[in-house]
Formats: sequence, structure tokens, C-alpha cells
Amino acid sequence: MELARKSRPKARTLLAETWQRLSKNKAAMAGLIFVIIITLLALFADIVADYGTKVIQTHPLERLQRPSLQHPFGTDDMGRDLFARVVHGARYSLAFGIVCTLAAMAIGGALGAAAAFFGGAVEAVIMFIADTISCIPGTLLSLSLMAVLGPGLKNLMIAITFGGIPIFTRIIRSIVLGIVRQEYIEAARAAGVSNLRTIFLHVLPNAIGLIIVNFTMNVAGRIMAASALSYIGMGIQPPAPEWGAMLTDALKFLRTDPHVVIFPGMAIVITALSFNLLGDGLSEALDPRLRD
Amino acid sequence: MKEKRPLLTVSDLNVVYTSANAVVHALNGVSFSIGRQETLGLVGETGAGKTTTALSILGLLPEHTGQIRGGKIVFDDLSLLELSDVEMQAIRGKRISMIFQDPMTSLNPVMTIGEQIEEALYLHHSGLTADKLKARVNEIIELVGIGSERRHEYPHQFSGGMKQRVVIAIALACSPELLIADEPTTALDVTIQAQVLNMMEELKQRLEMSMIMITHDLGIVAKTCDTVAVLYAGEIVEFGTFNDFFINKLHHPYTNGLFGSIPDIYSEEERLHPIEGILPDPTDLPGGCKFHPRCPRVRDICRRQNPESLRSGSHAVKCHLFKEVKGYE
Repeated sequence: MELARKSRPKARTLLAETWQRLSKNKAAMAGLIFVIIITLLALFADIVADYGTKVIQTHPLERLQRPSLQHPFGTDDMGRDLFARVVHGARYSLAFGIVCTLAAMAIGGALGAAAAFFGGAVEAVIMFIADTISCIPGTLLSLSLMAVLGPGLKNLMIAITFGGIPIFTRIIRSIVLGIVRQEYIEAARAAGVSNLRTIFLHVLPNAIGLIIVNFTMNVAGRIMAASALSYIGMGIQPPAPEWGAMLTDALKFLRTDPHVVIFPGMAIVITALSFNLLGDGLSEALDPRLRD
Repeated sequence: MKEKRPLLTVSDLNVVYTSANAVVHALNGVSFSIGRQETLGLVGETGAGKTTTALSILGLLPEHTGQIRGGKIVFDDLSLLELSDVEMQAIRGKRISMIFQDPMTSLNPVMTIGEQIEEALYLHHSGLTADKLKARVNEIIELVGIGSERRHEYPHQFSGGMKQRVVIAIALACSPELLIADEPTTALDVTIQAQVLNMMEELKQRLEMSMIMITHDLGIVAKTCDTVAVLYAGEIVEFGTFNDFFINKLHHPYTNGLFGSIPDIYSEEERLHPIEGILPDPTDLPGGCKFHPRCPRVRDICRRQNPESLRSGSHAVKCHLFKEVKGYE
């Protein structure tokens, strides 16, 4: 309670300062704008295009049409509007990208920070488990989990999140280790700061730049992981529009009708790029040493 | 001296650092005490155990390697080694503060200096309102000679000397009774050193603190300290008042070596006389007197027997040679 009351005015000034610095970074702003657009499209996908009639229903007569005013991205081999499918696909991709990464980061981050901060037996046990799991290739791990849990959106998200936990455990442990050994952490403890407060107010703010960069890079990775699982039929089931699944469905038309590949592919690339640009900009904006 | 009962008493403190294949004997029976409003100079070479002493007092020895094997630390009737972690937290920063050696790294780079001072205050005076906190932060910043308008700036925007002032401001935020300064001026250049030392001395008077000044610079000791303890290989080899050190001429051979390493404006010596050799390996300390391999006046007994501390008034020396000096027993 007290902690929240105390940090509120601080957080506002930090936010204002960060925004001021971020807004000067053109690449980051471009990334931010795209992320907002994609998020809005995903949120209001039902208003943009009706799921039942536009996204799922097939129109054999309109198959493989080139982009036009009526179908801005053209249509696929079932005659479905690609624009509508890409917009609805954003829901899946953002869900996997953001939610799974956040979940993986929260769990992996807590484990990694605990390992670095407490050391000793805690660290040994956590890192042993993380390293063991890291030995299994990510896709294989998610695949085995899917085989156990069965298909479905929720299980897919659990599987994808799980694949990211050991990576974040390791990354955040090494970030925190680097910071914990700094003298200002010792100085904070000498000033009577408690362990929890040290972690949240001294260690994490110093790590936030690196964490954000890793977060944004991982968002793209999680989207790809979901697509990979969809590709081999363990992920999103047709006819649901997932970008990776759309891409693999469309591959056989790459030579004759490239637009069916280009638009879902572009959606993945632009989303991943936007998150990376925004992440880079944020990590710079959050670091007062890089200002001026 | 002003009060009979000392503020801090360290007795027979033994600290070891254990690693996988060696035990480092960092402190071997260190005892000293500080009265209220006194400054104790803790002098010694790098690795003699100065910082270990400071960290032991604060209970901040590295968790898995540093161990206190014995001894007592009593601070104003509190036995610090028996307190719990939470109880120590309440003492750290409030009643005992520490200034670290390097101001470049001892400030959190992503918090403004105002926030860092405020945190120190907030931790120990949670009852203060936001306005009062702010006012107090401004007051403290002004106290160390920085304009309060700079409270919103980050550590990297300050020079080294100014950063050390900020570090001092944080340490003094709660008006501690004891300030441990671990080589506070080593990282600063000489002109700034004098400024910072003068300021610390002034603040010490004003806030009525006691201070442990850890240094390897006898010049700083002469300038600031009431009592001096010379540490060698984890033992206090000489302890005494300012007069014992800088007026009287009788010293432990090691202390003489330290004095011989300082240039003297009034003498025409061509070369300084440094102490031969290096500190003994703390994982494999020599038997007898720890200083005997380097001592220019070594005798047979020094190799066999670790000397007792011999006292004469306020002066205590741990050396066999002093058995022959009148008044030491």
C-alpha cells in the first residue's frame, strides 16, 4: 500500500520523460504507430469484417482474385477475402505474441531474478531445471505439450508460453547478476533497503531496457512458433485464420498468385519489425544515460 | 572521550571467506571501540581487512562466502550479530550509514539524485508527508553544497566530486549516529578530496556523529581522526589516539613503514622507504607475528609466537619489541 502511494508521482514523471524521449525517435514512433494500428484492428476485427460470412465462408467463384477495391488484399484459393482473414488473424498472432511472451517473461523473469538474487541452492535448482528444459528444442517441446494437452487455443498458448520460460529465466538471471554485483545495490542495502524493494526499485528499473528488447524480440519469435505449430497441424485448426497457417496454405500458389503469400507474410514481418523498433526505442528512452 | 560508554565496540572479531578450495582469514581477532562524536581512522593496505570490518558491522558480508566465526559487535547496547535481518535493516541507513569508495558506481543510474535521497528518508521515516519529505530532501542537498534545483538530475550529470557529495547526502539523510566512510576520497582527485573531507568534518560536527574513516592515506587520518587503528593481515597491530600516532615517535614497525612511505616536505631524502614485500596470503598466514616476514627488526621470537597487545595509556601495540619499552605491558 505504502509502496504504491509512494511510487505513483514518480511513475508519472518517469512516464512523461520516457514519452518525451521516445517521441523524438522516428523509427520507434513508426513502430509504435503500427503496433497501435495492428492492436486496434485486432480489437475491432468484427467491425472491419464479419467472421462468419467474410472470414470462414468460402466463395468458390471468387477464388484467387488479385487485389481490388472490393478485396484490397485479393482472395485466397477458397475465394475468402484475404484482408478480412489477415485482420482476424492479427487476433491470434497478437495473443500468441504478446500474451505468451508476457506470461513467459513473468514466470521466467521471477525465476531468473530469484536465482540471481539469492544464489546458492535456489539458483542451482532453478537453473538446473531451466537448462534441462533448454536442451529440448522449442518446437519439439511445444509439440509434445500439445500432444499431451490436446489441440485448442488455450492449450496452444500454454505450450507456446512454456517454450519461452527457460529462455527468459536464463536471460533475466544474467541481466540481474550483472546488476546485483554493482556497488549501488550494495549501497542500497547499506541504506537499509529490504530485499523485495531492492529487486523491484533498484534492480528491475536498471534491467528494464534489456528486458524490453528481449521482450520485443521474443514477441516475433512466439508468433513464428505459433505459426510453426499451425503449419504441422498442431496449432490453430482450419478454417480459422492464423497468419502462419495462411502462409503454409498459400505456399503452393506462390508462383501463380503471389499475393496470397505476400499479404500474410507482410503482416508477420511488419508486426515483428514494429515490435522490434518500438522495443529498441523504448529501451533507449528508458535509460537516462542515453538522453541528450 | 566525551562520554564514558563507547558508541560501538568490536571485540575479537573473526571473519573468514570460504571458497571451494580455500579459507581466507580476513579478520583475526579485531577489537576496537569508538566513543560518541569521535572519528576512528582505520588504516591499512589493500586486503588488510578494512572493508571487511565495515561490512561486518553492517551485516553485509557476501552471503555465501563471508562468515563471522566469532566475536561481538555492540552498538549502543545492541549486539548487532544477534539481530535478525529485519532488525538490521532498520539500523542500516538510519543509525549506521556507509559511504562507499567509488561514487561513480554507488549511485543508481536510473534514479534521480532527489529520488535516491528521498528513498533513504522514506525507508526510515515513513510517517513523513510528501511535502515534508521534499523539503527535507532539499535541505539535505543544500547541506552538502549542491543547489536543490539539481535534485531532478541523474547521477551521470554530476562530476565525481559532486557525486560523492550526493552519496554523502544519502548517507546523512537520516542523521545516523555512526558513519562508516570506506575510502570516501580515493576515487577523487586531490583538490576535490580536500573539499569533500572538509565538508565531512563540518557535517560530522554539526550532526554530532561518530565516524569510522577507512583509508590508506595517513594524511587523511592526520586531518580527521581522533583515534587510529592500523590493520595488518586482519589484525589491529597498533591502536591509539591522534597524539599517540602523530606526536609520539614510538610505533609498530609496520606503522613506521607506512610513515616511511610518505614524502616529507622538510626532509631532504632522495627516495622514499616503502615496506619491502607484500601482504601475506590470507589463505596461508605465517605463524608467529603476521608481519615478521617483512619486518626490518624481526627477531627469533617473532617467528614463533604471535605477540600480545601491549598497552601504555591509550596506546596499544602488538609487537614483541615493545616488551622492552618502558611503560608498555
